[in-house]
Amino acid sequence: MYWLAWKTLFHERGRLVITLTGIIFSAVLTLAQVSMYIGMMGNATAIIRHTDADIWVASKNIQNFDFTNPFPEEWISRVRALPEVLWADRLIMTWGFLKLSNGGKEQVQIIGFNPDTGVGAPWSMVAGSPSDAKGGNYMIADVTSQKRLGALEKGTVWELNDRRFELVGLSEGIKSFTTAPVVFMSYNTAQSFQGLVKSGQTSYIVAKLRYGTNREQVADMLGKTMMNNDVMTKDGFIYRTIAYWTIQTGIGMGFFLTAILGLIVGGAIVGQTVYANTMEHLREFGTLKALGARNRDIYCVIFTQVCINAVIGFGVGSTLIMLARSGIEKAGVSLYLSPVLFGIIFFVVLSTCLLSAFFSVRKVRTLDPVTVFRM
Amino acid sequence: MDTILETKNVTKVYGEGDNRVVAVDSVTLALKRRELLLIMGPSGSGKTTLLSIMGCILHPSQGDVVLDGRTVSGLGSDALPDIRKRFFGFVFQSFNLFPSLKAAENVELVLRLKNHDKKRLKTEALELLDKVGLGKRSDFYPSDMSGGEKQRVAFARALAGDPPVILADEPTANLDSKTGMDVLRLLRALAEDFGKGIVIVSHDPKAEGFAHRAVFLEDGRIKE
Repeated sequence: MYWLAWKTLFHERGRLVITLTGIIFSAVLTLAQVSMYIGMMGNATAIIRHTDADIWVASKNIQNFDFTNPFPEEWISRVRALPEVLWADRLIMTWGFLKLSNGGKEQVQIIGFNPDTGVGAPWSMVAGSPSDAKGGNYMIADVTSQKRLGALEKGTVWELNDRRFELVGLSEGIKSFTTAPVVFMSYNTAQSFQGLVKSGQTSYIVAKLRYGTNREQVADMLGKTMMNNDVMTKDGFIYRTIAYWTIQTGIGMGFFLTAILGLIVGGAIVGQTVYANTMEHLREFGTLKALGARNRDIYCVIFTQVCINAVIGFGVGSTLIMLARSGIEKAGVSLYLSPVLFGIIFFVVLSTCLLSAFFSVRKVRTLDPVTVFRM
Repeated sequence: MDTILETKNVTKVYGEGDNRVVAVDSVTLALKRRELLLIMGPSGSGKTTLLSIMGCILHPSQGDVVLDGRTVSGLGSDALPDIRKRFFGFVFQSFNLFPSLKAAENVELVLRLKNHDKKRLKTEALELLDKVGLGKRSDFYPSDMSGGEKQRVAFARALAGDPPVILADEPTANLDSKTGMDVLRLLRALAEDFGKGIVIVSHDPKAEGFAHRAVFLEDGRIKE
């Protein structure tokens, strides 16, 4: 019956094109929305994910990585006091205004990290090294910010909040959720910078636990001794950040709904064409039944056609997304496209297509072969 | 000639109460191998219903259908598709060919349905088309064929898998007079040369001249 499915499908090219258009539309919209959403959430949690720490101590009731309040850095001793803690360090997250060559200003997100240990340092350097940020007004910027900041060249001097900084390194692919360019500098420089974080204050304390230690237990224990802070595991902080942007701001929900809409519209187009196709071939299906085909043989024809449509439609949709990828990313939008994501979205698109064949299958199930004599 | 298909007191009733319609009423018939049996009668006389019962497409309300010595009317709906595949070839008034398949592929479809050797599907389909005189048109789609040619393809399809019985519903209804005669001649040849038991339901008075036996159906009953 696969043979019949194939022959019939490709014989009616007009209908095939309409069905494929629906699936391509659905696949492109779903892939674009989901990859954009994951890309944005990836940016929102990038520093947390790339910092090799198990525990994050932040200000009380912190909503996400970008919205933190400073607290005394000396509280790091409480973290270090725990025998389960291998090491603890501090991290600053603050904001500043970078003066551009055209006289304008651009708000930037500043990460103050420890250049000696590398905790919180940029992880994908294309020029210089994180340790170059040590011992003065040095900063590292990300090449993806060039569209906003202008040409970034190692050795150039920039004015940040009226202080002069030398650009000593360039990272690649590090973006913030807010799309503000990310600038890295040493912890001490960031602290003396007189931004949101003042002398003796920090934004985060991060800790690495000894091998085999239960992260949740340590976080709970620390939380009881640090009542004025939120103590989270790495995964907990990632989850909290994602939940904030997704649920509380509705940004993620917007992406989610558009992706669902894409699936529904695509599914409706496929369902409609598959059903119209079934109705048009009712006489043939009746003939097949009269000739001795079972319902499952005819289901096989319908589902095979749906699967072929889904594979071709998703393949074309994926190719279009891949072709458009660099253009979209040049516009500053991060797309997260991985084989796993393609696999998951294909499964979703295929399921939608198969589900849309439900009414066709029901029609065939109740089709009486005796009607073939009356057609 | 031995009997291949029998109906014994077969009755088919549709509806209940005031809507009760007796489509076929106590029909007893026997079809032998190499026989061309013609069932005639006016519209609404129950010819097609009887054909559907004989072809194991429709269950009779009463009575038995005996196929090659085995009573099949009591079998469940699940068993009937296999019975149809094994014993019957069907020819329909409107040909019912698959428009997306070429002539040979239409024949091949039934061979596939009957799980024939995949390597021989094409050869077998071509042989069958040759038998009905259409070997040279095997690569044509139904839309590029005349009514007579389509009906010949339908006969080749009915012969696929070598079923002992062929049931034809108004096989000449959509054909011109000359083509209709050719088709009837072909049916007679299929019965005599290939040993098939063939049942034709037809309004066409010309069919009588080609049949070995004709019965007349009126109000669901056989009129002697």
